[in-house]
Amino acid sequence: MTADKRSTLRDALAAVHDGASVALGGMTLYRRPVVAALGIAAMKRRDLELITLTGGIETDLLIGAHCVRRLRSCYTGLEVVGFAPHFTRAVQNGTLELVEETEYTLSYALQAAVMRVPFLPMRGAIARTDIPHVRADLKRFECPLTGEPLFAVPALHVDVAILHASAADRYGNCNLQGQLALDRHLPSAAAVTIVTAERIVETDELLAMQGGIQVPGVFVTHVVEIPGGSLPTSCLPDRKLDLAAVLDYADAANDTAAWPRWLDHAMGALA
Amino acid sequence: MTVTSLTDLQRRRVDQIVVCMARMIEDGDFLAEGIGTFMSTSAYMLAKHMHAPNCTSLCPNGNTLMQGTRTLTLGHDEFDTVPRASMWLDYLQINLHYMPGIFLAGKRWTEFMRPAQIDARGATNNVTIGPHAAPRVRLPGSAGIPDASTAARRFYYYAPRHTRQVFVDTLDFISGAGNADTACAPDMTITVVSELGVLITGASGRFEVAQLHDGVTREAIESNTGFALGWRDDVRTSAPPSDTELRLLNEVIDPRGLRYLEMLSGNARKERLRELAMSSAAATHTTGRQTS
Repeated sequence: MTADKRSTLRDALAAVHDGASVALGGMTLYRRPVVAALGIAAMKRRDLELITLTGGIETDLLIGAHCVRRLRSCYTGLEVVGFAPHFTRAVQNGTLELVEETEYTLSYALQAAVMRVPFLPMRGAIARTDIPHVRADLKRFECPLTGEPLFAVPALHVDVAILHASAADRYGNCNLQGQLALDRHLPSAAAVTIVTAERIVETDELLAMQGGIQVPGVFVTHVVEIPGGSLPTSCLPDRKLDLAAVLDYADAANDTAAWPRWLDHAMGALA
Repeated sequence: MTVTSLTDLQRRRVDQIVVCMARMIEDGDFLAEGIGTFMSTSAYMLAKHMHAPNCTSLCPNGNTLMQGTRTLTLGHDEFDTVPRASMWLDYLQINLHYMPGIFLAGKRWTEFMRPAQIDARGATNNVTIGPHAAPRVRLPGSAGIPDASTAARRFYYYAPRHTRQVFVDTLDFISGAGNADTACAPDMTITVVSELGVLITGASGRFEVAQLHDGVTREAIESNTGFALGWRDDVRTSAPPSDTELRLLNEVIDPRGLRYLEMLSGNARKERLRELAMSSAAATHTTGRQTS
């Protein structure tokens, strides 16, 4: 498995079809594939299902660009900056279908996908909350061994996983820094994995970094070198969260006149 | 707009909540930090400085297990934690390998969460105001609260605003489990530290007032609560923050006053965030702001 996987962003994103389920790496405001999200917005993809443990600016901008039909997440917001404007409005207006995940339901669903089993069992105590009432896909069943009530959490379906890596080599091996989120596991569940990387380096250099190779290239389809591809979210060790830019984003996304200008400007900056 | 635009009373109430939370932490607890929850993180660091130095922190911004203490940052914790973590994990490891064993094997996982709504039996809502299918307000979501609250025997919340909008008779959605409305022994003990006092569920499973903060009357807490409160026989007055606690908070743990952000909303909060973002962009990055 030594094929050179370097690609342009446009060629890599051709794998994202209308209606595809797309898992986004990173977490809220940390190491998000923001430039790749802008690329999807620029290509005017429609009816996507986005999957993210926690959604941040990358998810919100795709909702604001009308690319998203359904979202699976257990939190979508801009953390200290507050509500994610497009997400909040789209759910309130009924134009976005939200699958109400918890940290466990999404983790179990991903683990089932990785294992290629139809479901994993979750303890029945979740029925003490309203989550099962809004998740008809979580099927209650009796444990065949103990008789206790359990819920079957169906395996996640992922067409395309998109990660932003701290560094990668041409073979798709990745080093990830900072918040790892679910990133080490998304590629082994997805049919296609696209990595945008701060830098493309030699394999020896990856091995010398903290954590070494965190995603093996065997699961990676395309590697695109995009310095600053996570901005304004962080990417350890080189990029800190740009909080002022997130505040600017929130202001623009809350203003119907400013929003198209923000989006055009951000998409226009794509090479 | 500066942090001084908060009244002294509001600042005192923030610090009162922080010290009440810190004093509930036992040495050796596993402390799970939230993100942007500066008040609870301040409390964890204060406990580690004061009486609980052997607690392990799970810092979710980086998913690191940390000994020792840190200075609070505005979204840059990864840079402080990952390079000197005792362990560096991802979310499958946290959720599949660590949380179930810590909660269900009875280890002391201590985390103070912030609910949008909380009811008399300690159930909470961070999902929607109004019906789930057609909400008036969509909230960001409940993250791991449904999972943790259905496994824990002790559960903690904090409420910077003690109002009838937060302390409600009926939740619009249950995302954090409370005690069942039955005659059986309660499932769990739930504590909420608010700006007015400390409520703890009793034998009935319902909240009882255990502490009132200095200067708060019974009438004040009752009139700001949307359900009938029980009262413990031995209601205490919370000890105000000591000089040592205040010095640690102001000079070591949170010199920029990030914990006061949780008391601000709307434009005041945005203005303060702008101010803080500008001052951190201007400052050169200081490495190793280890405080222990």
